[in-house]
Amino acid sequence: MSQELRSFLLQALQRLEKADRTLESEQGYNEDLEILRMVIELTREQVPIENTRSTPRAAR
Amino acid sequence: MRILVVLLARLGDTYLAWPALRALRRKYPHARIEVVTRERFAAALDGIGSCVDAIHVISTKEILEPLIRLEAAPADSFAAMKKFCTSVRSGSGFDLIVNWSFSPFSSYFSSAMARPFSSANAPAQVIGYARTTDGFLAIPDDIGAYFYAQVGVGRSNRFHLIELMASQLSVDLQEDDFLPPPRVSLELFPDLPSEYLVLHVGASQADKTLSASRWISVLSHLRSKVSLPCVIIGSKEEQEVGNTISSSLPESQVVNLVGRTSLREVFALLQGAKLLVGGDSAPLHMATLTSTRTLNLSASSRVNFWETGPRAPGSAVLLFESEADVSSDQIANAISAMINSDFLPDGLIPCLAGTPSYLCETSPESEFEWNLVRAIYQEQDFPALPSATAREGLRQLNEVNRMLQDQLRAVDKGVPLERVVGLLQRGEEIIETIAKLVPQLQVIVRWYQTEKLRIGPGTPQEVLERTSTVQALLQKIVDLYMDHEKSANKGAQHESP
Repeated sequence: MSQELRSFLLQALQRLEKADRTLESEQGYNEDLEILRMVIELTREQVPIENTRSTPRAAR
Repeated sequence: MRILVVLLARLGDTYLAWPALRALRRKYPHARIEVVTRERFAAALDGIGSCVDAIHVISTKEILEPLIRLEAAPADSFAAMKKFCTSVRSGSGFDLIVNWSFSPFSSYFSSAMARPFSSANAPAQVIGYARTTDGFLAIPDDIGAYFYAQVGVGRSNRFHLIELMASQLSVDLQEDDFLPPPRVSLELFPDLPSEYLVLHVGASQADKTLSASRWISVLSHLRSKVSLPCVIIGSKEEQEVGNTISSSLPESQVVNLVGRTSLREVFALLQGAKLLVGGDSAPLHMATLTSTRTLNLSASSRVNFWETGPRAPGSAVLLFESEADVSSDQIANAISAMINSDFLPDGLIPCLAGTPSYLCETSPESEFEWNLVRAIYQEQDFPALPSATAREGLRQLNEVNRMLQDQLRAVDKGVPLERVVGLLQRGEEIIETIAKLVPQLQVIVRWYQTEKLRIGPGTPQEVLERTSTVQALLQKIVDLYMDHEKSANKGAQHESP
């Protein structure tokens, strides 16, 4: 993966995680948040890095 | 009945699932069985036959592409993901979700797919990872919990993944679950000799196989021992490795097909091969289906051969920490021995029928941990603690767990949770530390932590009751050892003068 692509995805991940926190505090866990988390996890799979996981009980 | 199997892992994992998929069809002959897979692994379902009725392919590129535009549009990614989920669920919704991907993404996806299609329907049953109603990880089935706690590199599991997948479905595997797809022609490869061995020189991760220079060295050593030519295979991305190897060796010794074969052609190649040699990767799992004898070069720092090793009769594992720990001559001798005789030389781990699938002498600590697994999950006898450190760890575990139980009883009697929560958290931290300091007790601690994780959302009283049950189960295990130690000490006192 190119550095540029990785950087794009990391920035996107930060934005998605921010949206996740906002949505969770406003609406709690619901179908929209579930979809958002799928996008987040799919992004994380592309850029395996540490300390980005916000879910306390994460699957391996 | 509509069943969805979530198979988002790699090519090799997809082939590992073939026997269980066939068993699933046998269990539900009239069900509609659908599989969801990734674009780049979909080819691994080619030829599986009538046990799968439909394949849904998720395009990661399509979903994530809006995120990497100059003007990133996360909402478009969100919409694409929603569209994909809706398209998979279209129709009547699912009755059963089998999630064999064990990843965070798959857990959210399985939950989404399990949701009732209408208020008149019940949610689908999920096997494998899902999510609770508040978004935490849910592991509804016991084998899934076992997988979470004990499976993986550096863990104590010795059950093969093929068996674990079948256990999740409560099915027994049969011989005809292990069959390759219908054979395709190899006429595109006129240079193919009539007898050959196959070397898979690639892998999903470089350190799961040998380097190009090491393959060259192995083949140079092999030249004087084995007269059979070697067909080397790998993916398109590994063509450079293939070229490096083939250009360094005589043409008569190597047929370079790296990057030139489809997966179906690899199956056909394996069916005609005397032996497959390679790391823990897709061709090894394909060879299990073609019953091709395999020498698995297993880098223990990257894979756990017990759970993903070869299963074809007569196969063997050559275990090493990393490439530097095994000589080229050792590998060449192992290949030669497997080609020239039915007997395996010393140093190879033979593959056996049944479970565990390998005959391997391991350290007393490793034996203890495996026996502990069998005691906790299969109701076998608990093994004796192997060391004074383990005994001390158990004593600490006993003290912490009793403290935790005292705090839970206090909450049950009306003490506010806020007053004890600090102690409860401290107790969990100590248990985690015990596992780090006393690796032999990690099997118990991982089981315990997984059971705690499985406590789903509920009323405070429900959560308290479920937590107390897990602590009581832990105490039962600890008491077994503490009682045994007490009687051993008493015996020792009687014996002393």
